[in-house]
This record gives sequence, C-alpha cells and structure tokens, in this order.
Amino acid sequence: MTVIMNNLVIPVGEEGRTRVLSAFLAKLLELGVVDAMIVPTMPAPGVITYLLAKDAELVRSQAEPFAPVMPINGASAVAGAVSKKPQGRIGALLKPCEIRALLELVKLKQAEADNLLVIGIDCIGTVARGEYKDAYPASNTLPVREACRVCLNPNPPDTAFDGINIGYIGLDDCGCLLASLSPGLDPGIVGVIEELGFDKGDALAKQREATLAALKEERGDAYEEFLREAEAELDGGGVEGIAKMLAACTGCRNCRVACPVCYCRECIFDGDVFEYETRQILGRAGKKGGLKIPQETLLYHLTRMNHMSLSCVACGMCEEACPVDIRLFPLFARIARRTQGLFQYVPGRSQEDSLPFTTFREDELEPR
Amino acid sequence: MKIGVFVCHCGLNIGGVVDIPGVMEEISRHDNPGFVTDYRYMCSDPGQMRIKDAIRDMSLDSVVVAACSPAMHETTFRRTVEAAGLNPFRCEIANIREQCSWPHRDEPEKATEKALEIIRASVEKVRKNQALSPLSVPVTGEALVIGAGIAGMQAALDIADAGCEVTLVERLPYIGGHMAQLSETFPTLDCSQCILTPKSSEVGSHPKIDLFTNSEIHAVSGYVGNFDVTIRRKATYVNWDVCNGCGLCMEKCPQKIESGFELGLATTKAISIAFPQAVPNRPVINPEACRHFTQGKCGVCEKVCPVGAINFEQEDTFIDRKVGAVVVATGYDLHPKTEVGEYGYGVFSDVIDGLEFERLNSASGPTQGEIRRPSDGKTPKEVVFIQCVGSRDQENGYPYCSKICCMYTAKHARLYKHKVPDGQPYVFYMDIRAGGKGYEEFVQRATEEEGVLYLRGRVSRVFEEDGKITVFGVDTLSNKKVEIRADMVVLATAIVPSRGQTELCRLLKISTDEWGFLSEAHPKLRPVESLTRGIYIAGCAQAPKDIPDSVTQAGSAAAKVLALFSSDTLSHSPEIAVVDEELCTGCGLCVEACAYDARTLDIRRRLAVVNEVLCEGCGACQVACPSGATCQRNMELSQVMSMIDAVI
Repeated sequence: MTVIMNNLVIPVGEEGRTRVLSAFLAKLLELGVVDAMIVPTMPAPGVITYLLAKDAELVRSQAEPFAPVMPINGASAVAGAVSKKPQGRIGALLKPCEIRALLELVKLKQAEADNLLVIGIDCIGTVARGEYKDAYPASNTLPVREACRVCLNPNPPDTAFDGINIGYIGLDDCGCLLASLSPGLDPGIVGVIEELGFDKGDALAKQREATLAALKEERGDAYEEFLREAEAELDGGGVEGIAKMLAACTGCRNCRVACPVCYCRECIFDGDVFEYETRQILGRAGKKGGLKIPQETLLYHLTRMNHMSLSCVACGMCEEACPVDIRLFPLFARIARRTQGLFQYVPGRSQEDSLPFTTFREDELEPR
Repeated sequence: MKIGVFVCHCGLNIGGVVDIPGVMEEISRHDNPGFVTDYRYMCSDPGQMRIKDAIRDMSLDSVVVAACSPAMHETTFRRTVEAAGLNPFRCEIANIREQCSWPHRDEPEKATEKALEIIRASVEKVRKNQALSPLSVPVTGEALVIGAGIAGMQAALDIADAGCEVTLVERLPYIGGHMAQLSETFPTLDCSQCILTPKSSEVGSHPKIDLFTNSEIHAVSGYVGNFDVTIRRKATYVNWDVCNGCGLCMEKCPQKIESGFELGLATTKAISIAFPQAVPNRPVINPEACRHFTQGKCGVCEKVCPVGAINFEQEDTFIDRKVGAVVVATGYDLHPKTEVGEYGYGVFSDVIDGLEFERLNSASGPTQGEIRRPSDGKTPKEVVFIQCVGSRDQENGYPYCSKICCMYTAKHARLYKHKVPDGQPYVFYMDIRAGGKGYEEFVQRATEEEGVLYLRGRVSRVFEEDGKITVFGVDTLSNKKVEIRADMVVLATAIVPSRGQTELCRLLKISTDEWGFLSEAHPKLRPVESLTRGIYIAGCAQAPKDIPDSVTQAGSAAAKVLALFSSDTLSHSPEIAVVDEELCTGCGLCVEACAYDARTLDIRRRLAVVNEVLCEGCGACQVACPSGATCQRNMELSQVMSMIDAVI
C-alpha cells in the first residue's frame, strides 16, 4: 500500500520551523482551504492544549505544531468537532497516533471524514504533560514517554486520509520542512497550495524515507525488548498476573476518558448492569472469602481490552491518565499486538481495512 | 418474588444420574425460591397439572422447569403456566438433560453439581424476567412459487385451489420441468406427458395462478408474511398477448439450432416452442441464434406472422409482487458432461445420459420413440446401463445417492426390451435401492421376466472401437471380468441442484448444504421448511427425489403456506433485541454482527434500528455492542451477570 505523494519543500529560514509551519497553516485558513483549523497552542507557560481557530492570526502567532506534548489524543478533539453533521471544512494538525485513532473513529462512525482536512506531522516522541510543564522552558532534555520510545509509526500514515503530511525527520540539516500531498487530495486544495510556489521535494522525500527506515528498525528492536519486559511484568500472564498488575486500580475510569478509541456515549460500567443487590455482593464475598472494593476493576479493564484492543493505536494515553501509575501501556500494547495479529489488522492504516468485527472470513483464525 | 422450581426426572434420563432430592434440598435452602418439587415426567398431563396447581395454590410469580432442552418443551411449559394465569415469559427452562445428565452420565456427582448450577442460574434469570406479549405481524395471503416443474406446479395448484393467489415463476419458457422430457414413469409405466399435461393446462388456466415463464427472480427483500419480490421477465421478442400459437413463424424461420429440450439430439428453429404440448404454447426467439439479432437481417417471422406478434424491440420487464410466503422448487440438473470425465461421456456420441435416453424413447422425441443410437441412427442391439455415475463417489463426484437412478435404469432397460425384443440390456450396479411402493416388484420384473442382465460391479473402462462401444467391467458376484461390445451406453449421472440455485439462495437468504441442495429446518420434523421463516422447499431442490416424493413434499409445503395464511397476522417471539436510543452511538457493529439482516443503521439519527420481525433473538448484537445499548428482552446484561454469579 504505497502511494506516490506530491512532495513540496517549505523553506524554514531564520524564523524557525514553528512559526513557518504556523504561517503555512494560517495561510490555508486565510485562503479558505479550511473554515477552521485545530492546532496545539500554549495558553499558559508549558501548558499545551488544542485550539479550534477561526482566526488565521491566532494560528500564525500561537500554534505550537512541534510541541513534544500530547495534551489529549487529538483524535478525540477532532471527533468532537466533526461527529455530527459537519458543515464547512475543518483542518486539524495531528500526530501519527492521533491520525490513526481518528481513522478508527471514522470506521466506527464516530467522526465524519468527508469535510475534514487532516494535516499529519512527523513525531519523534512526546514527553509527559506534567514533566513538560514543570520543566518549561528548559524542557528539551526530558525523557520521551515509553509509548513513544517504542512507537513504530513516527510518520503519519500516507493511506489513512487524503490530506497533507508534514515531514521533518531526516531533514534537520536542510533548513526546510516537507509537505507531502496525498494523490487523492481535493484538486482545488492542491491548486491553492501549489500556487504558494513551493519547490518540488522528491529528493528530500527519499532522504526522509531513509532516515525513517533506520529509525523504525531501531524502534523495532526496542519494541521487541519492551514486549519481553511487558511479558515479565505480567508475571506469567493469565488472569492472576493481570489482576496483580491492576491491583491498585481505584476505578476512576480516567484511562477510558483518555483513550481515543473508547467511544461509547455512556460506558456500560456507568449503567446499572454492575449495580448489585447486597444479596449478590454477600454471595460473592461468601464464595471467595472476601471481595475487593471497588468491585469489577478487573472486569472493567478486561472489557475495555475486549472492546478496543483491535483499534488500539498504542498512544499510551491510558497510562498517562492513571492516578495510581498502573502500567496500562505494556498491558494494552501486548494484548493489542496479539488481537491485531490474529486478524492481521493494522488500526489506522487505511479506510480499506475493515474492522475485524464487521467482517467474516472463514480462514481468519487459522491456524488456531 | 415467589419462584416455583419443578425438577423433572425424565424417567431415568435425569433421575438416574442427577441426585434430584439433593439438588432440591440445596435449592430450597440457599436460593430462596418459594416452592420446589419434582415429578417423574413433568411434561405429562399430571406433571403439568402439578405446575398449574402450584401456581394457583402458592401464588407463584415465576416458574423454572428443570428438564430437557427448551427446544423440546419450552412451548409446552409456557402454555402450561399461561393456562394457570401467569405470563408465559415468566417461565424458564433449565436444561439438565441434554446439557447435563446425558453428557455426564459417568460422573453422577459432578452432574449433580452442574444441575444445581444450571437451575440456580435459571432461578436468577427468571427473577428479572419481564412479562412479555408476542408481537403481531400482518400477513399477505399470497404466495410465490419459484420453479414450475412438477413440485412447483403441485404446490401452486394446492395453494391456489385453497383460494390464495399464487405467483408462479419459471425460468424456462414452458412449465413442466424435467417431467415434460420424460417418456414413461416408474413404477407404472404410464406416459409422463399424459399425466403431466392435465396439470400443466390447469396451472396455465387457473384463475388464482399468475404464471410468469421465461422469468427469473431479480430481487427479494422483507420477511415472513411480507416479502417484496421483483421478477425479471426476460424478453421473448414475441408479444404473447397477441400471438395465437399458429406456429407459422417456426415453420418459416431459416435458422436451425440445437434443441435444448431435446438435449441436442434434434434441431429446432431460432424461434420455437419447446415441444407440442408446451404451456404456454407461445414461441420465443433465441437472440443468440436469430439472424435478425446476429446478422441484422432476416425478419421472416415478422413478415409471416398473421397477427403482428413479433417485436424485436421487446425488452426485459420487471414486475413487483408482495407475497407472504415463498416455495422454492427449483429442481435439478444432471451432473454436466464436461465434469464427469469418465466412461467416454461427452466424447463418444453413443454414450448418453438417462435424460437423453428418455428423449430417444419418447413418442414426441427426435426418433418418434424408436430406440436409435445418436451416432448413426441404428437400433442398438446391446445396451449397457451404468449406475452411480458421479453419485456415491467420494473421489470423483458426490457422496450422496441420487435416489431415482436405480428405478429409472430398470425402467429404461425394460422399455428398451419392449421396443427391441432381440436386444440385450446390461446394468452395472452397486446395489439396487428400490424402496418405494411397487418399486422392488418393478425391478424384479426387469431381472426375472424381461431378461435384463444385472451385473454387480463397476465399469473400469469405456472406449470406442469399430463402431462399437466396448465396456470393460467386473461382475463381483461371479468374480469375473466382463467385456461387452455394446452399441450404446446409458449413464445414470448424478443429480445436482439446478444451475443458478446458489445465486437464488443468496437472494432469498436461505442456506444450502455443501452440494448446493437447500437445507431444511429439521431433517426429520421440519423437512419442507427452510431455516428462514416463510420460505418453504419442495422437490429436487432439497435433495434428489422421484415424482411421488416431489408431489408429496409440494403438497406439504402448500399446507404449511396455507397454515401461515390461515390468519391475517402471525405472532412473533417478543424475546428479541431492543436498542436503548439514549445509549446507542450508531457505530454499526451490531448491523454487521446480525446474521438475519434484522438491523439497519439510521444514519440521520445515528442509531441502530431493529426489525422486530426479522430478529430471531440470537443475541449476537448484544455481544457486539460495547456500550450495552443493545439488549435482548429477558436476557438483559444484569440478568447475565446474575446468572454468572450463580454458577461461579
């Protein structure tokens, strides 16, 4: 599934890449390519949030496209804006894992892709929100989050949406950014962008590809190592191992809120299904000798795994949201790798990959 | 809530394995039901009376019957509780026979433990069961019959005679199916046309039968009682309303083609009526052969037609019908020549199949009923019949028995002997299956009185030499190799489902077996119903069968249709899925999970919607739905949790 992108060079110059890319995004808004633009901004020192901007000036002056922080997975931000009867076109600058989560939400009919212009951007990793804020502005030396260290997708997927991808990996010495337009991008948009007079950048694209390939290989090794460690953390696996990992869970459900692909309007764990009569609770306690309170924390996580592991894009936001530092990322990454492998499903890759739950092939679970 | 628990011994089926008194004591002590009792046969009248009495005397709110599978007696016991004034859906069956005592016969202690858990789970479930009422669905009292062979015609006539409108659709231009091609029929040797034509003409003129020949099913939607069907009437290029069937067009048409009805043993014209007694007796132009269509000239038929019925511009038309029930009677084909690959079939012209022999023997056939072999028209003096060609052949064909071949081969051999008294018929057979009224006697007569030589064994090779067909075989009774220099070989080729049946099944959403024959709802107890409500099956479309069996099944299918039509509405189980609109996010996973097409996505409202009539309450949607927006009535998630609690 390779596509030939239309590669253009955005020179950076002395202004620096942040302001140059912000200006490019602002231009798209000014020229009417989009009616609004969702970008990360910094409303307070060290605090990054998403802003849905109508005013191009705001984008030009305040966007922080390179901030190494993911305040929330941007897929949730975008889906919230384009879930119902979207009108006008909304642009959104998103990191690779945000794009992949957004595509899953589109497949799950929780977002409309028709009036959306997805602008992807390379991401070599993000740091924890709190650490970033505390260390700001001296936050350049912070360690990258674990999920990012083993991330195999530092570049936005070419096949997910018909949009624009901004590349910088492998281009550090060139003093420029690469804007790659999907072949399926609206010709009207392509025309407007081409009129901005950027040079063709196919050579730079090759250079970026080479660096990406090396980075992915390095990450691949790190990922395998990480999975081995995750296995060890699970203490032999099985329900006992998982229960031990989740022992500290307070049932706050923050992980569910942070998860971009957990999409239910009301979670089944918020309804009355798990409200038990005292008779039942006593019965359970009687059988086991005692009962962990709050109840059903294990069932809650198992249910979440069941519901979303096929669409898990390994963004790690669940773990970042946990107030009691449960190692959710290794747990979910491991499960997701197994379930996705079972159906050879790659979440967020292409709209043509249908969700395994919605299709049936006789051989899909073979060999068992 | 007072729950009555009724434990059935089922003689020794349950009572011989499960410690019923022990189970009852445990339930009474720990599960707070209200009333517990047992009986030797709970389904018997006195057993049911116990339930009724207890409901009244103990003022029970719900009932659990621990007995056999709900497939057996759920209806029985729900009627019982209803008779005692309780809502029938407050009765649950705990299956402690098929799912407990039978499979765990050798471990009575564990079986007792499991029975206890099954009953406990049912008690917990029934605590939260709602009182439900069956849904009512309107029924359109008109039927569609697909296929107008003997089975389809019989079904159509039986339904129409009862006063219901029938739409009968036949792919070919004429009705009668394969029976119209047969010469005589076993076991009475009466002429096939003679017994068929009265039925054909009755179908053709029946005021309640709307006949569409040269037509196919184009689209089907809807559900029992309310199917919407689109019929594609293929162009005949002859205006049948004007045509009087004089036949002048056929006489004058200059283009000869192989006759499909005569299986290529004779020619016909590009405009033709398949056979003289055809119903409807109207010609059809074959556009693949007609010179007007292939060469852009001719038009002789148009010139000679005295009533101006020829219309080269005619196009396919589409007719919509709303029907309440469908009978599928699409018949059979013979295993195609190209796929047999044995016995020189399709290679030597004097190796023919049974249906071709029927045409050779038919008074209206290519030889006017004289037995003459296809290659040179000579009367064959030695004829070899080979049975089980493709049937009962795991390796090269089909494992099933084609059922009619033993009988028609005996018939062929006898008819041949009648017409060629100095000829010698040989029959290679595996064993003779003649299980029908008068069938065994029929075969006996062939072997004992009419000099048909039966050889038990297989044929190893068939080849042509000096104008003869040499057959190598073995007679396993005498253990001798046999070589016959025959003039003609007749193969009893396997019966396969008719061409296009798979596609039709896809339109109707009914299932087939691995060979493409229609699946019945139950092989013994529901042999004429498909698994889709409102769709019935008859004739060889289900499995190979002879004319009496086809007619019987057609009549039975008609009776089922008429039973469905006997009321203006039909009731549907209320134990189906419902969607909580507050919770549904419209992700559509349930739509894909539903095997019954009972779900659609309302794009505008972003909600999943249930078609209550199509929903069979299987629960797949409930499993697919992540938020619990979909629930099955009386199998709510909270009930499931309680049931799980009861067993772990």
